[in-house]
Formats: sequence, structure tokens, C-alpha cells
Amino acid sequence: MSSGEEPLEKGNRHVRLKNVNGKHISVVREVYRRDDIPCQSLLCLANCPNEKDDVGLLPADITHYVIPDCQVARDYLEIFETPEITGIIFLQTVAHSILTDCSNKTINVFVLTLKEYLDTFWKLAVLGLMELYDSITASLETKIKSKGYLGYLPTEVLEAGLKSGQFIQGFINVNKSNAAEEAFVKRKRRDPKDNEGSDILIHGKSSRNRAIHGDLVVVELLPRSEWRGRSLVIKEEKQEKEDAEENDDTEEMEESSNVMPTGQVVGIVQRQWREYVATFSQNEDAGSGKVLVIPWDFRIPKIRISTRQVNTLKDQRIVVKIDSWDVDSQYPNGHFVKSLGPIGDLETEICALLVENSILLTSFSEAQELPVDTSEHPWEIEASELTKRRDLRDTHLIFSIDPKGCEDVDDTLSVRYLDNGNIELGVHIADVTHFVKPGSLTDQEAKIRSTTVYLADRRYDMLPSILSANLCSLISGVDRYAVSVIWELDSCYEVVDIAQAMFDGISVTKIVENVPELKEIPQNKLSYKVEELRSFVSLLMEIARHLKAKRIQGGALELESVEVQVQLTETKSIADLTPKDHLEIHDTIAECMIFANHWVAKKIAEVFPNNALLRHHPLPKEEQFANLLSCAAARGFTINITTNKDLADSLDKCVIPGDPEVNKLLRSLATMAMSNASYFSTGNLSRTEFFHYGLALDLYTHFTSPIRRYADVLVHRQLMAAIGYTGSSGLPGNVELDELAEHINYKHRWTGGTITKTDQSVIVCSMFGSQMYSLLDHVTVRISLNDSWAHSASTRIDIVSNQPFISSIQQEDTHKQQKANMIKEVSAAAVERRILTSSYELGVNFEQIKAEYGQTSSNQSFYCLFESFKESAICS
Amino acid sequence: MAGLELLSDQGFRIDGRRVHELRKIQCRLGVFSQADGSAYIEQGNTKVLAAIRGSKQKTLHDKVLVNCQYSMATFSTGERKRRPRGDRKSQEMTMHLRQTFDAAILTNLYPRSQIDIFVEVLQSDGGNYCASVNAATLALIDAGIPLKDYVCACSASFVNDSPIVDINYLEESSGKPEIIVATLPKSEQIVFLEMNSRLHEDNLSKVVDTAVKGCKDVYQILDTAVRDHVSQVATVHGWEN
Repeated sequence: MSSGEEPLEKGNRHVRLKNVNGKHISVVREVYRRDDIPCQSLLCLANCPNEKDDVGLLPADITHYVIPDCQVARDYLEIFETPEITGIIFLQTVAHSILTDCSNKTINVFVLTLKEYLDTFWKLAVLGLMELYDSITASLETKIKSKGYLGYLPTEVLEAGLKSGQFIQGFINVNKSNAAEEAFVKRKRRDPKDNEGSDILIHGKSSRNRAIHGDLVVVELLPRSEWRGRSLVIKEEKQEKEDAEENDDTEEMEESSNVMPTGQVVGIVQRQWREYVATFSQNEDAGSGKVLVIPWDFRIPKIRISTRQVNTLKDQRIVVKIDSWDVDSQYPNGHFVKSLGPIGDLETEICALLVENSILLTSFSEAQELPVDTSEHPWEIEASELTKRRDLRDTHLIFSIDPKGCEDVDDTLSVRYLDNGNIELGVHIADVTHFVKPGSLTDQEAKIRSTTVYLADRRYDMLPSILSANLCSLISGVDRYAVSVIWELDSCYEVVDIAQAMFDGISVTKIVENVPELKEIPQNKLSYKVEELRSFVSLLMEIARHLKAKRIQGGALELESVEVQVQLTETKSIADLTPKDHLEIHDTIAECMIFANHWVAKKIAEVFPNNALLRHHPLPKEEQFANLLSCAAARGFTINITTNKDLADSLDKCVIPGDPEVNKLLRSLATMAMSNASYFSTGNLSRTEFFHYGLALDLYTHFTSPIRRYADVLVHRQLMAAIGYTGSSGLPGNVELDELAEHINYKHRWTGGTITKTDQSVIVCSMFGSQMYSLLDHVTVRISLNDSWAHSASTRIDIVSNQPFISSIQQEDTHKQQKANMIKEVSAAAVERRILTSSYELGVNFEQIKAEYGQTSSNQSFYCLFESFKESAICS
Repeated sequence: MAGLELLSDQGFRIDGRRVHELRKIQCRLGVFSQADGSAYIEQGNTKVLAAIRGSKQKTLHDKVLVNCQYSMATFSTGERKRRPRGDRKSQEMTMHLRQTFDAAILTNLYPRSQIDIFVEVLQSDGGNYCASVNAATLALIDAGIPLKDYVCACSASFVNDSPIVDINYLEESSGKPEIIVATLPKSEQIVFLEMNSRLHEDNLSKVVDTAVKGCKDVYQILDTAVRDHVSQVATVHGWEN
């Protein structure tokens, strides 16, 4: 109440709270009732000063508004998330109540129970809503007594223990091939000086104590006498699933590797529960009530849900959400959210993959203020922008090199000779930040999505399509905004003037020459393009070669990964699998991008020493190389891993004449040994940790794909501020940036790193244990689909013969040869599967390089590939 | 109180106030007849009683000795308070109050005497110091002791990049920075300033300005209350003319 204004009506709210000791205390909080809040309704009769601000307006085409009370809003929030129900008014009290989880009563004008409301208004309009309601209601009532777990310690005990070092905090990772028994806790924020930095083993369900894969947990180490090693025997999946519950105690000490720190979960800091894809078990009887469903992901325990529609949902993949896991319950309780569709259907399976990877597949909300570009209102460059930017339309020939059909072109290049004989190299990146202002809805949405997801036949954009495929995309023949980095290079391709090198012009791209068919005939095809362009491209390749040579001298690694392209027929079944051709022009582009990223990183790190967003690639851990070393040793090579330069050199030496595959395989193994590169804020790490191991650069960031990566958008903003084009006021600080970096890292890391590691140690041992095949022999394998009812489909790899597969008509059918190579490579990544069948997504290991070269978003290609395998099997 | 949203996107605080709004202030002067001066003030749910007593003493020959006693009733907080006075917090508060009023009372007018200020917090909901200072000011005015100016106190905090004024208990205990300012509103002089927790120096002046603005708002309310009181007393005694 400020003087001069009408005093607000004051009231008191009585709240009963439970304090830390478990005592109930009653608290009185005062509340002020306001009468100056606009109703935001288009049908307003009282002339409220309604403004279309961030709250949004209530629609006019509606018969009623709903004001849910606290209880309803908290328990049935998902019902209100249904897009069909509009005109919901959430009271501030309700919003607070949901946040603080304390109940209260508000007085509504029309008091209906939610069930009555749904019955009256929505029963016919939205099918399935009542089922959702029933499911949630039932799960709220569920209380089942069964096997007990230990309770969690109170928060302050945990905090004290963490501070004193008695407890350890970290994320829990369940071992995919032994989900019932083993989990590992990866320490959070490891101190580099800490020698005991290895992961902690959590053995058995009772020590895991209701933690679910991904949760942030607190563990207590067991006494050293109870430490044990991880089991090396891969159990048969089927058997494991059935007797996982019984054999807890009877199980003898299996063959184990060295003992490692073992602990038990004593508390959970943060649950990472999301929505899970699940399926009913096949022999579920048609009764109603509580049903156990099997999650798609092996690492998640079965979930108990209540539903009366077992029969209708039996052959469908459904989405469930975990509500709670009581101390006395063996399985977590959850509720049914929605059905994705029948098992085996392509759409269903893709939806399942998306849900499992927390990829947002909803369409963009309409409230965003987006520029328009229609035939009536064509989008044009603003005159005010033109005066601020450098116009490169007439002076530079700007071209892009992208595969055919690419819609979101965010990087283009230009190169030309200057009058003084020097060369001017330009990298021009789409100016996304011009359209996506910090804090706007588009920005928030992009932040949540963080990346564009590419699947074989579709993609899920980070930005609305008007931006990603049109206004931000540097398409041929139209004017666009761009951010350019332009260097002046001397005749030896050295950067002449560093001060000028970071010059930023914001260009308007006029000519974008596409080289679409490039992947087919790289050199010859160019000949019919304009002569000028060809000379530029070859000059560019020359420069890139030089840059790359310089980097390799510095110790950059050339690692190997296989990319497979799936060619689909019109009915979306698989027509063919082809390994992606690797052409020099791809290297050229990648090299230019690395160059640009490097210089941008230099600039922003200089201007914002405390809050620049960079990307680093930490030193790999020595034990990760064990697999590579032993594999190389099998063929008589030694690998020196002391520095990245040594590693690169010794990898170059591992060549068996006439057998290029060996070198490729070793490189793949080296790739797997790498730590994951990640984003960070410069204020959070010491200067020595900034370097990028794989690229051998001291500073690196991501700048070149703002349309498909959110990190690049952030870097763009920082660069704009660094060169004084915009103010630096809106930039995130160190802490905020660090949280953002964590979020983006998480979004980019669908494929877990630690699981890879455990799998690899298994590879080596089982190989030497069986002594049947020597490493790196060529064998022919057959990939078949191991269909599973509830889980992700896996591939089974059988040895057909231990002779290399040679196509009978090798000369003519090189294509087939490539395919065979690919198969071999895939098989090597999962060598142990030749003997034991298990579920193993092959895509996991191949992505590091791709992450580096900016195509992170197609991470899913292997998933998709094998899902499509399955699809094709079903179709045929 | 993790997860509690102190300031909603729409700019409302937990109790429904906007960032610049004070809690509701109600006050009365002259609530006791035995004491030389007394006052009662409610700032939201914080309720404070203050009483003044004057006496002779011999220690200081050139100015008055200001003595304070601050205490909180056992029933003033959610859980029963064990020691109503004499604990560290109360002692600190006592000292702060004495310093504040030493600076505001024209001490050299009463040599060889003592002014006792008794402050009792009946109900506590954040901003105890502020309410105590405001109550004591009213009580001193009621007692007719010459002051340089009203002493008005107000607190402020900094949430989601915007300063909020007059914070209640919930906002106080959230761990956000808290600044307490006591001023002489007419001259805008600060007689007391305290800060808890950490605040970036770039934001300091913003938050202090907010608190000082709050003090001025408090002053308006106190001044109106004093004038009402005086005119009421005058009516009773028939002094209108």
C-alpha cells in the first residue's frame, strides 16, 4: 500500500506446514486481495485495461471459463494440458500451491467436481479424457503394502554428510545389460585433483533404494570389505527378466573384475522422472485394476499403473508417468497418460523413440510473434538494418555447399582475391538472433528444444519453420541477414592481420550457389558450374587443406565414424542402406567452420572472460584406452596415448597393407575412448581446461549452426555484444550460462557415455575368454532383427563364416562392397554380440566426431536405422 | 523454501503485493496512560508496542542517556519462543535501536537524565526492526521528546532482478539479500543501514533507493496518524481554537 493509493483488502491465510523435524506447525500468512488485475478476457464488460502481454488473452469463442482449485490443478494438471480445453484461469494462489505443494481451498462461483465438469462439457468432444481421469484417480488411491525399502535420510543429514565427504552426490546410471543388479553413480562435478574419482557401484535393488536411472542421488560408501567388482557375465535377457526378483540373495559371487567402490543410496536429491514408453506384458490377463507395465527402456523398473482398459491397450505402446515410489512398494506407482498406437506401427515406434529421448514433438505455440513472408506480404529487408550492416550482395560471391533437399542452410562461404594479392575468406552464418530476441517466446521454446532433431524421413525443428526453412535459411537467390567472419589471408594462407581478422560485417546474402548434386560426382560435376565458382571452390579446398595440415601438426586427431544414410521409398519402407560418402569438400566445409568457430571463441573469450560460452573436450581418461590398446596389440601395433599428437601419429602407423578396415576400426575404438565434448561457461573452469583435445585447439565454440543448435544462438548474442553491435545487458551471467550449458549438454547427450564404457570392457574379456576368434579378423555376419515385445528392438549378429565377405561380382558392384564394409564395422563395435545375443543400440559409439562437426542433431540415425529394419521386417 | 516463487512473472509477490507496495500499516498513539509516551503499530502481521519513560540519572552530565529494551512475546512466532529477551538477537536489536535513537533525539536538551524505550513485539512476521523503530518514533512523539525528524525504517530485498520493498517473514527467510534502512525522511539522511546476505554492488544503490522510498511512504502514514491523534486530543481538551 503506497500512500495515495486505495488500500488493499488484507486477509490471512492459515497454513499447516510440516517442519524439518516432522512436527506440524501452523503458519499464518497474510494475503492482499487486489482489484486492479485486468481480466484478460476478450469478452470483458468492465473495460479492463487488457493488454496482450506475456500472459495472453482468454479466447472469445467459448461458452465458459474454468477456474480449477488447488487440489484439482495439482492432481489433474495433465487434463488441463489437453489442447482442446481452452479458457482456463489459473489463480495465483493455485499456481503457488502447485509450486509449494500445500493444499488450500478457494471459493469458486460454480462448484463442480472435476468429474462432473468433464462429464458435462468434454465427454463427447475429447475421447480418452475420461480414461485419463480414471487412471489418475485410481493411481491416487493406490496404496499397496509389499517389500520394504529403507527410508531416505532427512535433507539436512544429507547436506552435512556431503559437506564432510561422508556421502557422495552423483547421477545414477543403470547398467543396461544387467539392469536388475548393477548401477553406477557418476560423481557430480569431479574435482580434478581427486584421485578416488572412479564411479561407484550400486549392487542390488535394495542398495539402489528406489533410485531410477538418471536421478541425482546421494550415496554412502560401504566398508571396503563389502566392495565388489562389476559382473562380467552377460546374462540372458529373458531369463534375467523373470527371475530378477528371486535371485537377489541366492546368487553366488560371480566372476568379477577388480573390486571397485561400492555404495548404497541413502537419499535422492532430485528425481529425473519423465514420461516413459511402456507396454503391457504379453500374458497379462484381462482383469482390471493394477497392472504392471514394462518400460521400453531396460533401465527403468516395471511400473504399476491402474487402468480398466487393459484389453484395448494391450497391443499398444503407451506413455506412463511415475507418480511415487513408496518405501513399502516393490515397484513404483504410475499412471497412464496416453496411447501412442499399435506396436510395430512406424508412427508409433517413432513417437516412442521421441518420448524416450524427451524430444518435444508438440507443434509451436501460436502466441509467438513471428515475421510473415507470404505472397501478399513478402518479407523485406528493413532499410534501418541496411544502414547498420555491411552490404555484401554486390561485392561478394557467396555460396553454400549442402546436400540436395536441405532446407535449413545456415552456413555459407565466400572467398576472393584482394587488390594487394591477399585472399579474403569469409564465413557467413545465418543471423538468427535478429529474429529471436532474448527472452521472447521463440527464444524460450528454442531453449527447451535446444536442437533440431533429424530422423530419416522427417525432422523436428528447434525454430518455427518460417524461420528455420525460410527467413533465417540462406537460400539461393534471396536477400538474407547474416553474421560474417572475414579473414584476410596472405599467399601462404596465414592470417595476415589478426586485428582485422575478427572483423564483422553483417552481410545480406544475395547469391547462394547451391552445389546440390555434389555427393554424387564431386569434381566433375563442378565443371558445368560457373568457372568462377569452380576456381573459388578449389581455392577454398586449398585453404582448408592448409588449415587442416596445421591443425594436425598441432596434434588433432582424425577419428573414424560411420554414417549410414537410409533411403526410403514413398511408402516409408527402407529402400536401401548406403554409407555416407566422405568427400573432400565435406572436409573443406568442416575445416572452414572449425576455423570460424575457433576465431569466434577467441573473440568472445577475450571480451567476456567470465561468461563466454565455449566448448571443450577434456583429456580422455587413460583406462578408457585399454580396449584400443589390447585390440591394437592383437595385431602387433603399439599405441602411444601420452598426448593427442602421439595418439594421432601412432594411429597413422597402424596400417595393414591391403586392409584399410583395420585402421578404420582402430580409429573407431579411439573415438569411443574419448570423453564427451561439452559446453561450459568460461567463469567455471580454469584457463588450462579450455582446450579442445580432439581438434587440438586452445579455444573452441559452436557458432556456425544457429538454426539447429541453441548454443550457437547464445554464442551469436555474445559475439554481437563483443563487437559492440548490441549492448551486453541481456547476456546471461556465469551462473545462468552454466545452467544453460548443462541443459544443452543434456539435450545433446541422449546416448549415455558410461554405458558404452562398461560394454567395452566386456568385449575384451569375452574375446580372450573364448579364444575362438582373434581380434580384427574379417568375418561375415548376418544382421537380423531380434524382436522384443516390450523393449526396443535389438539386432542380432550371427557369424555366417569366418571368411571375409567378398561379393562375387566385386568389380561391378562396389556398392554392395561398401555395404559389407559397413556391416563389418558395425559388428566390430559390438563384437561380443557374435557370441551372446543382447540388446545393444549400435548408434551409441559413433557420434563423437559428428558432434564435433556440427551434425549433432542427426544423432538418432542408428536408432532410426534399426527401427526401420524392424519396420521393413514387418512390412515384408 | 526451495521452489517457492517469490515474484511471479506477472509481478506479484506471494502475498499479492506488487514490488513497490508496503504492507498495510495501522497505528495508534497514546495507548497506555502510565507511560510517558506509547504507541502501537501494525505492519501487516507484525505488531509492535512501544512505551517511553523518562527518569533522572547521574552518569552523563551533558546529554540524555538513551536506554532501550527490546523483547519479543513468547507467542509472537509460529513456534513458542523460549527466551523472550536477553538472547543474542534481542541484544543486537536493542543495540541497534539505541544507536538509531541516539542519533535522532536531540540528546543535549536533557542533561543528567535518561530515556527508556521499551519495545515489545507482539506478533512477528518480518521487518521487526522496522516496525520497532516506527513504533518507538510514534511513542517518542507521544511523549513530546524533541527529535530531529521522524525516524522511519523500511526493509528491501532483491528478487529476480527487481528490488522489492517491505519484505515479510517468508521473503526474509528465503535467503535473498535484505537491506534495512532507517532514515530521517525530510533530510533524507540515513541513520541506520544493515545488510544481510550477499548483493552485487551494481544493484546496491537500486535496493537502497527502494528502501529509502519505502521510508518516505511510511513517513506519510505516520505523519497522518500523528496529526489525527493531535487533533483528536485537541478536540477532547477543547483546544481547537
